[in-house]
Amino acid sequence: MKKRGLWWVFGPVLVAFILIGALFLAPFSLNHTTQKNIQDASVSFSKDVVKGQTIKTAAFSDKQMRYVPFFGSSELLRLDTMHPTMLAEKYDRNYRPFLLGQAGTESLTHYLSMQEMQPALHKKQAVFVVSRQWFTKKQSKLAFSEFYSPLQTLNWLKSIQHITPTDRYIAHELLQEARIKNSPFYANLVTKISGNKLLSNHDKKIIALRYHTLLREDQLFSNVTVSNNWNKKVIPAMKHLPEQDDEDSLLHEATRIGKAQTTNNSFGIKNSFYKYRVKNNVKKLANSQKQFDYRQSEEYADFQAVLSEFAKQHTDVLFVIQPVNQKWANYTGLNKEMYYQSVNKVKQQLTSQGFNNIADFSHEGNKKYFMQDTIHMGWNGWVAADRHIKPFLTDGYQPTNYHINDRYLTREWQNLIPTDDNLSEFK
Amino acid sequence: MAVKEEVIDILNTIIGEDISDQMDDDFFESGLLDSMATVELLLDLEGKFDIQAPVSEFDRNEWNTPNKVVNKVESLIG
Amino acid sequence: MLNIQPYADPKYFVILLLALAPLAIGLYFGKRFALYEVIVSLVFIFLMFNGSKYHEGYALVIYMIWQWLLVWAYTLYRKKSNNSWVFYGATFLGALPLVLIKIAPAANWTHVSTLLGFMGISYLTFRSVAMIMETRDGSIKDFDPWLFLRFMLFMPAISSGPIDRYRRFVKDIVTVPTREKYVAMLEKAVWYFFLGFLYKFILAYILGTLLLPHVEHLTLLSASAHHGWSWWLIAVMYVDGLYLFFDFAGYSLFAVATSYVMGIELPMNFNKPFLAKNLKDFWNRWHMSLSFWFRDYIFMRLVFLMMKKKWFKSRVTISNIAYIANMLIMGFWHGLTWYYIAYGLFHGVGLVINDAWLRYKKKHNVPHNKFTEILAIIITFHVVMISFLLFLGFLDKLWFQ
Repeated sequence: MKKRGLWWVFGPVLVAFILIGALFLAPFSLNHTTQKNIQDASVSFSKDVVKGQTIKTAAFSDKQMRYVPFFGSSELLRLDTMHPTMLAEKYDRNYRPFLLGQAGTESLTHYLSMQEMQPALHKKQAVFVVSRQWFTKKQSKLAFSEFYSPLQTLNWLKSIQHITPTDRYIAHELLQEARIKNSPFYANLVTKISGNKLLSNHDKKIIALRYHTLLREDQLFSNVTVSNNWNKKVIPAMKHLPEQDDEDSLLHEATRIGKAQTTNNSFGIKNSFYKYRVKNNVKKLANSQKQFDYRQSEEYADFQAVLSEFAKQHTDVLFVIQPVNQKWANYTGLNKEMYYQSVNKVKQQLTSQGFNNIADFSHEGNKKYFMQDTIHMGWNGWVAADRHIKPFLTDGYQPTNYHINDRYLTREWQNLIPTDDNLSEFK
Repeated sequence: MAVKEEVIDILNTIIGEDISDQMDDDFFESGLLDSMATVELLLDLEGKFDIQAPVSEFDRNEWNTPNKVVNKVESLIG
Repeated sequence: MLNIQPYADPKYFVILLLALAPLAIGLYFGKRFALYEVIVSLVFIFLMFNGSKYHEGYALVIYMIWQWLLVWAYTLYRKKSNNSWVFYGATFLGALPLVLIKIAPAANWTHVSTLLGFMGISYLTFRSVAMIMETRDGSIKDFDPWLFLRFMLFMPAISSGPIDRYRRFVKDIVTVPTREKYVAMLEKAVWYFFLGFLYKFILAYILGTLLLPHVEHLTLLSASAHHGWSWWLIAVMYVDGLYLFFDFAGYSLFAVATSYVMGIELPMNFNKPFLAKNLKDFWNRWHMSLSFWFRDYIFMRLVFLMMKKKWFKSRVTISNIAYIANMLIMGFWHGLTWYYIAYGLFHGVGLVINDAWLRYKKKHNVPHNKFTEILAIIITFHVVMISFLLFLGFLDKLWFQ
């Protein structure tokens, strides 16, 4: 064999490490995000978009188009004809929704996600769709780890100037999650916050270095996920929408489509959903929701953290409260009283702190073609939502007047079984 | 009969073809000999030459051609 | 407390290679710092078994004392006499902890699992049982307490192999490779490390973390019809089978590369297994250090015994029995669940059929050319993939849970 020296063996490795080091530590940005990238990302629902900072920064600082964050969960995925994205695009309104949510995203995930898009929230507008299904007693935050992003945690840690009760609450929650608990680096930093200790300068330096690396990783890989939703769903839907941006004709068209797509069941559920997700188990599902209870949940406190972030950024937010499919709720035995109590609990939490833009549809789950399936708004539901969304967003930012009450972070509030009396008394 | 011829004889019987013209070919690589045949070979050699060739002494790199087997047997008799 | 699992993340490699650097510099200049090597190895083993895994650490210590005394005692005995039953007894005692650990989950002996179980017990047992067998054969004559420990606890391979052989290992560890040879080993080590990164951190990640949950989910969704049979199951088969290879082959490459840095030529575990032309060829390429262990210490010895005692006339019968016994034992070793045992049986029967075919082919001069070779490779690959689908237990999830 030819005699080879150490340079021959290790030279390439050394060069590789130098190149990688240069790539990650270079002070300039490497990526280029196009309009089309942003447009695709705005309807991609990709986990990487929820988690990634680069694409969101690009979208919310876009000069040509005003992207507004729509926080929510699985309902945002129902990209049908009357979906807010379609309406904004078809009638070329002065905003475009940027959908942040997926099946399984709940308040804590949104709170962390907001940490890396503060400029997009600061004195700007947002829409937040609340689902009752988040507010369960057990099995809360099942999908948290799927959406967890260390970069967001670092953003949050970086932004802490003085430690607020919200910070301590979030720290406490994060320490319950395996992804943080089992990582000595993050566990150590988050434990400090939870113990009301400010981070040292040394901590901040390490965070800055780690932040730089993760951000570069995010920049390099955030464009990897491609989504075809725009071409596959949005563009075809354009053809079905009436030419005039007019509520009556929208409602007419929505009813027509809804009617045509709900023919194989008596619940008003979309045919395809019913066929694949319900039909085989329909007998088993009768009375299956009898025990469901949305009144006591940690989610109320997680939601409070989101509210205080909105207050901190003076974000002008519209909250949309989704109904449940009434026929389906009756069939599965969902307790109506419990349901409305939990809706009142959330509304109390909102209004008592000055969040008064609420589109409450909780009483409209029995309207025809309002729901696309069991728990998600569809055709007529989106038209009704647009009645609130359109004026809210076209009129633009209004100064806010929120007054945060940290008592909503407590166990007492999480576990309060709401009645009319105790809600108004809770201060 | 010389050791060499007897060994070739044994190998021919086990393999089922004449290998006297491929004395330096690796018969594990060519697939002529497998673990099964190896044990037969060891047992036959043991019977014929009264030598001890336990399985753990059987290092494939030292037994992989007819010539090597001959050398091995000669050294074990020696 | 700090607990680091071998080859799990990039940080581990940095720490490992920094710790091994003095050793490598020594080897480059013709010196082997044995004491330093032992200390580094012990520190890394300690870090594997501390923290929440401390009970595994205790189990390892107890286990090592047991094997140490056993092999020592048997070597002393073997110098004086050579009774078969003493040999069988010693082999049994050597395998006993592993046997208990394998029975424990099926028998619900949770205390046995916590008391005796630790990651890597199988691989240590293979090493010590092989030593007992070779001592019986007279191939290993003396017991060196120090070398025994270094062999058994060789750090790069402690948790999952490759399974080395004592005499081969000792040859390496008491000498120093020439500089030319050592540089060549380092060159291979770099190549294996990077190939391992590709396998484990890229390909296995794509297959196991990104694709597998997705296809498994889809298979379970369509499971209600046709008793779980759906086209998605085929996707699970490919994804899971390939994941198994890239994950384990990646790990094995790391272990071999690390041992090369330490100047030890640990045997390779894989040799392009999916290019195997038949099932026998496959087992000469797949998890080689394990299949060769089974070949040398179970299959060949069983054949030897059956032939010597003339239990059966036909050599075909003998080899068929040995194949099935060999693979069944391997199946049982994987664990006492129906799918591991079925996997063992599958390969046992597969080897019997394979042998019959090879005999038929030789007798009838079946045509052999490039095309038939490619066809053979494709067929073998699919037989193996089907067996992996069985092995990975997804069918259990699909049918019985």
